[in-house]
Amino acid sequence: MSTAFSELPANPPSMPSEQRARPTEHRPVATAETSAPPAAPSVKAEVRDLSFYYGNVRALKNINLQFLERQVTAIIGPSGCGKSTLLRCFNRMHDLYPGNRYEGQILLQPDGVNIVSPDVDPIEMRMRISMVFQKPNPFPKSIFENVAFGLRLRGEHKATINAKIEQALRSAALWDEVKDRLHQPAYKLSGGQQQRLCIARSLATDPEILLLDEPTSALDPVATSKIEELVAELRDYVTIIVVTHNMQQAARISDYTVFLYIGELVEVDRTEHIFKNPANKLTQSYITGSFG
Amino acid sequence: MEVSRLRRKCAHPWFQLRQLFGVNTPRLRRIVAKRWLEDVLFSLAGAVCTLIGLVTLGALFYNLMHDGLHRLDWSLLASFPSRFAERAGVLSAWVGSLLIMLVTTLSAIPLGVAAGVYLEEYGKKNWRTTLIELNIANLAGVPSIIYGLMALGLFVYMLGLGRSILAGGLTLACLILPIIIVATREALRSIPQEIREAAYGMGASKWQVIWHHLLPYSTGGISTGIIIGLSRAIGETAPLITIGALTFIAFLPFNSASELVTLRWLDNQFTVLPIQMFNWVSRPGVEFQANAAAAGLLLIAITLSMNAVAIVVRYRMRKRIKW
Repeated sequence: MSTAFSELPANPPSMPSEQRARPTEHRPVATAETSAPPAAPSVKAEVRDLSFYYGNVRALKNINLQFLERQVTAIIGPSGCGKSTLLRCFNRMHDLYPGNRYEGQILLQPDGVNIVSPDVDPIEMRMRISMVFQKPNPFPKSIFENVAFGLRLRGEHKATINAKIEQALRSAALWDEVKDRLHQPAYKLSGGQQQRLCIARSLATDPEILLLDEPTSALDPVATSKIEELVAELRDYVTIIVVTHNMQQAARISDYTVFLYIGELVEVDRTEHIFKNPANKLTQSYITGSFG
Repeated sequence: MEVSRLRRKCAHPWFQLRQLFGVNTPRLRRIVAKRWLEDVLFSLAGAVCTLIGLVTLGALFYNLMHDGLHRLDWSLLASFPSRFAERAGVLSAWVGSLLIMLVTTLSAIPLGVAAGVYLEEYGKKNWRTTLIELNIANLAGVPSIIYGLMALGLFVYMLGLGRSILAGGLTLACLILPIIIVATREALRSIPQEIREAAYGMGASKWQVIWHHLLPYSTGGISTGIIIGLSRAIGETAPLITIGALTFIAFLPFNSASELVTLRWLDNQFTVLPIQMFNWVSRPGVEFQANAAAAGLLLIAITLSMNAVAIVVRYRMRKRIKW
């Protein structure tokens, strides 16, 4: 565990409201390279009574959770438990398909906007919260254009785009590998490089939350460990929520772990607690590999 | 380990059966030989079927070459039709074909691509859109003369366009719209959903996803569809005769380059290559038959080269874009 982690108080994610209300300044990845993480992380996103329906199927049932700022939270659970469903609520990916419905709230702090409210524009949420998908999905364009896309959508100037692309690629630990071939097609990169490119693409726009949906499930062990190192570096600058089916990975990279089972929240705690002495029997049997 | 595997094998019912009846190698060989014979027979039959098609086409092409190749020269391209076969040419016909194709291209591409994008990306999937989709697929199979009848009523009389190049171009545009719509939809559908999610996930609006991603990635498929459609349109005769294209025309729709720019030619009457060819075929005399064959060769050359362009475009786009 890093030093940043040991400085943190061992409070569970459910925190008193005065702490939750503490104002937080959003630090973009690019400028926060020297700043130390805050002593007590504040709440970045608060899930309240969230239910989600695929048509008539209720995939999430009354989830209540808090995600802390600049912490890595892992969501684990057996297949079909709703891990990805929960993650995709955060940038309203479900809105792309008909028949999906949210109930409840996800409040994004500090401004307290309800992410899943029908009145909130999903595009605004996707601009503030970006996502990296299970399979590396770079656009069939050049490396440069891949990272530039989010910036172009925001109407950034050319000089800004050039600077941000370098920063984003450096943050994603990809710069040294691609700096000489920025204008080559992205599909020529290896799978692991493609996934880091997708992370760079997401980081370029300074997201408030970075969502990682099983980011290493399509990668080999070497590429996986690179992504994990990357997550360890990024945790100081951005709130990260990562879905993983790999419990060792959750133990390695996360500060907090959420265990879901058939759409219900079973347990959430500091990762070290949940893996050493889980409070719930179900969690324990999942972690020890009795099922799942 | 070896021993235990052997023991298991011996206990297997198949093994015991084989012990009972023995291995009948000649029988196995007979079965294998029979299957080989089936394979050979089928591949022969397939080859014959393919050859029938190819040979027919080859014979037709040879016949045209034999009859018309000696007439296919610059003077044929540069002269107007005439009562005298040796002085007759296809100037007004190929210029007409070109202008008609211009109108068709300019009207069919935006309409067809937009309709395809709408149906694939915007249209909600309900019984109404399903009905529309089904009918568009059917429209591609409607006989072209029906389009001619429709155009005669709609463009020529109702909209008062007359027997003009504009009316002819729009008629052929209607004819190939279904082809372009279907090609556009297929091209869009072949883009993986992950790419769409990546683009939407960055905060792009629907239009931005379409404009920056979906359309560029489907250019290959769409342009292939467009070229295939156009190469069908250029050979169409029936709908243009129905709306009243001329069969004998000894002037160009424009007199100067400036008239070409002012678009006045859109209102002029026209003829096209296949009509000119039809006209010559129906005349007595070997010389006119030779002219018809030469015009046919020209048409085939245009169609084949358009298809070649389509193949090249598709190949290059496939090489450039990988998911």
